[in-house]
Amino acid sequence: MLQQMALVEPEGVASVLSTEEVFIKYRDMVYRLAFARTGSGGAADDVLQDVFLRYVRAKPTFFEEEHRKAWLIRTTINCSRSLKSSAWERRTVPLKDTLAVRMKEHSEVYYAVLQLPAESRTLIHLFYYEDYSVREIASLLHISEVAVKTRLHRARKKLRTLLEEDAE
Amino acid sequence: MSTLKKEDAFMFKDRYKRDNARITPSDEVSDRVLEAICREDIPDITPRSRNVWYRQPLYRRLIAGVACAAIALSAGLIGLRTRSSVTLPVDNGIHAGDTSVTTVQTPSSETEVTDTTTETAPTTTAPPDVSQKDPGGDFPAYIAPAQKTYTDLFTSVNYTEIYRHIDTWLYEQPTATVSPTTSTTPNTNPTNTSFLPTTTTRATSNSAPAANNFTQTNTQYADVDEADIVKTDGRYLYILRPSKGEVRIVKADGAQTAPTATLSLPDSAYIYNGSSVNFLNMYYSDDRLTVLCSAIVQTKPADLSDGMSTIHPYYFSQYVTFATIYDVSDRTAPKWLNTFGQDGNLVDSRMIDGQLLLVTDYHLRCVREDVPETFVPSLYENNSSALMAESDLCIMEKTDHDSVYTVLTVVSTTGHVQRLSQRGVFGTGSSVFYANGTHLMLTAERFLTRSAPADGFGDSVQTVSFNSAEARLQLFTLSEGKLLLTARGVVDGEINNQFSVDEYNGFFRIAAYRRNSLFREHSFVDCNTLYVLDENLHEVGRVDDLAPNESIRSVRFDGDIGYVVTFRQTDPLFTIDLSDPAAPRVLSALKITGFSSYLHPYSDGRLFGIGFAGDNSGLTGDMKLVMFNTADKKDVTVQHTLDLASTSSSAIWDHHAILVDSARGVIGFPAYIGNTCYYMVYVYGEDGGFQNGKRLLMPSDQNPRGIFIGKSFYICTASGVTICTADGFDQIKTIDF
Repeated sequence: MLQQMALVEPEGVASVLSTEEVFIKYRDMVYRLAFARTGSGGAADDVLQDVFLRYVRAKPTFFEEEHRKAWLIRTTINCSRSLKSSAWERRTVPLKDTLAVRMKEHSEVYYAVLQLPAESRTLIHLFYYEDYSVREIASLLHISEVAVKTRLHRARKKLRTLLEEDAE
Repeated sequence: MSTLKKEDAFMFKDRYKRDNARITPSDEVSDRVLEAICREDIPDITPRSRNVWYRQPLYRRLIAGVACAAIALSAGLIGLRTRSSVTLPVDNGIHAGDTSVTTVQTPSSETEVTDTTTETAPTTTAPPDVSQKDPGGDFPAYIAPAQKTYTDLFTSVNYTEIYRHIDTWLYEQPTATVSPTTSTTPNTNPTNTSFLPTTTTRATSNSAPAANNFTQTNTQYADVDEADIVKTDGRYLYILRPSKGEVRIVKADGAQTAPTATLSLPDSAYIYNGSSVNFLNMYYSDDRLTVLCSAIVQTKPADLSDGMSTIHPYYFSQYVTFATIYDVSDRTAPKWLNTFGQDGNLVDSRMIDGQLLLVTDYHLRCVREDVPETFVPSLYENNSSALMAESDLCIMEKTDHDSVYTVLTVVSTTGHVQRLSQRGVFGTGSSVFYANGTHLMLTAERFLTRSAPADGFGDSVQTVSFNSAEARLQLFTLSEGKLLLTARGVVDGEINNQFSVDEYNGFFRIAAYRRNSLFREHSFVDCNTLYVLDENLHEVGRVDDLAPNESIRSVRFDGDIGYVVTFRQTDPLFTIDLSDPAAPRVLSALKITGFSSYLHPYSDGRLFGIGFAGDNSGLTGDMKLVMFNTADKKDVTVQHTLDLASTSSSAIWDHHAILVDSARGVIGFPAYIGNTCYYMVYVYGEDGGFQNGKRLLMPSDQNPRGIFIGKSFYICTASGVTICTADGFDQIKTIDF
């Protein structure tokens, strides 16, 4: 009649996180991608807020954590893009951005990444930081694998030039 | 000259990741966004508070407005297009396509820009120093996060503000732009110094009765008394007879036991308007007997046509709860001392060192602006009544219980009998009242609706809603008879009873049953969570996912260890290590059939449980006793178990009915077998388990209590006392009232 119950780890699928938990878990990821895309701390703040506001308003439900992550990455890209295209962004220039200045001055390779075009930065970030494969990036950005490869190749080439220049 | 080589690429990856680690949103930004999304996350938000939120993106609009004005000034341009984030379209999935979602740009003239800035100015609750402290980003100012940490929370309000609060709630009129609570200055209550960690020497449970030779009411904490229908001081028994409205005082002296006096309650008690009175329970402390009763008052609304905001436009009955204090130093002639009353029905009460804590819920029925009596609770003393003073009232944030006050009073029953302090908190009901020597916690359930995509509709967005609940917590600190509201908090879930809450070493532990909180396999399932909160009721640690789809049946905390019983078909007893508040963990989960509805730390390494028996398909309907071996917390086992033929007992829902005396090794409780009421006594021994079961026939419709005094065992009911020997439980004498 008596039996010991084995403790089961929570299932990997569809663990429902509260919005707060989602925020805590993903804020750095969203912020870093936003910063990689915009190169400005203030803009990244803005994107961070936008992304999570969209998240709570849409209340998307995911059956895999990976989907949630993908959704957030996708939304981060959309939000930073719409921020870039907004009148506010087009007509103003940040006076002083402590984070951007700090990254330029103290980073090892980030200053070089920041000199790449925004779309290349996204690819580099997803590939090297989020460790997505070429195929995953292709499906995430809705472009072909070949295009991802080509752009990555170009970005790396540029990076190499920049890093070597710096080394000299 | 080529691209990054492979080994370079690895290095690049490392360095890039290292660089990225420095990029984190500042705490200020995090807090702000978190605040914003939490506010947005409330699904059944009311229109008025939604308005407040929709002004919230003012952060963006304000910045845009200020920037536009600046640009307009510098460039001499008027009428720039400014962004408005109010109407952001929602990106509803990664299938949304590559088309970037652009924000809708609303044209806004300069006048509108100034409009928004002036409009938003008064709602900015941020203290000025925070908004000026800009870290030097390109954004001039953040709206600081709304006040998150509450230091002293009791902000008194005046009657007009309370009425306005009720009125706006009734009609959803956005008349009050500023919340009444924020408009008043906080009470200058001295900051509580009593938040030093409570001494651990305090007995955390009454499992080991002191060297007394008599047993007392079974309570959560040894030094916090709980009201019951039978009380004793070791020499006399005090037996409340609610239907007769009297207390019998009986001298407990084995075979010579005899009644000494009858205390007739209505004669001496102050009874409001002569309406019907319910005697509930009582306390004994230091020659003083305190009897609690609730009176029902029938009131007719004064004049419905006269501009009255009517919640229930009919005749209505209101409860008033009274505590009447008698001096019983002369057991043959008790003396009435005083009667204290307060509006509302009794939630719960406690007595700590002769100080009575009385908590009632007061529901508003008919409200009229010019009659404060209709929306402010009254306090009664002897024959006089008075409205609660404005300085003793405050308003809680919006909850479901918008027409309810929680009224708390502290009455000293020793020495000079007087009311020491009183508090009325509007806007919250209370469901569970927890108290230890210093802290009181009130929990109020607030019901929520969660929604999720329904299954079977393909890709179209169809949502289904599920009901769920969260518990709002209010923490009061009792210091020298004064009540300070020291923290407020919220946890997800419903709280079972007072045993689900505990304080140990300055941390609060709360076990909550979270209905429909986990979305799994296309539907919501229930789960249970144990929270560890600090003294500000901020979460420190938690254990999630205790037994999905089951509900909590009983909880008991014993120092560093928490025991949680959940049930659906079988009964897992979780043993949880709470020694590290930030990282509580499940040590073991013992699965047996049935469940325990009450747990009692019996002795070191033994945990007693009483509940229902079952088999693998569910409950059999019989009761059971179980003794767990908790010596090895990682391997809790069942030491002994006993199934009873009984099917119902007040011990299942009222722990006061249970007698657990580990010094004598006796467990007693009332139980029904068929329609016959018995008092069941079992002797527990390490060798034989529950033995020598003795059933003592009781008059039916009674709620007996068993008490050891000296060498005799007294079973008290409202209709008499049965006296037995303490070792063999042989009847010596029976007294019928």
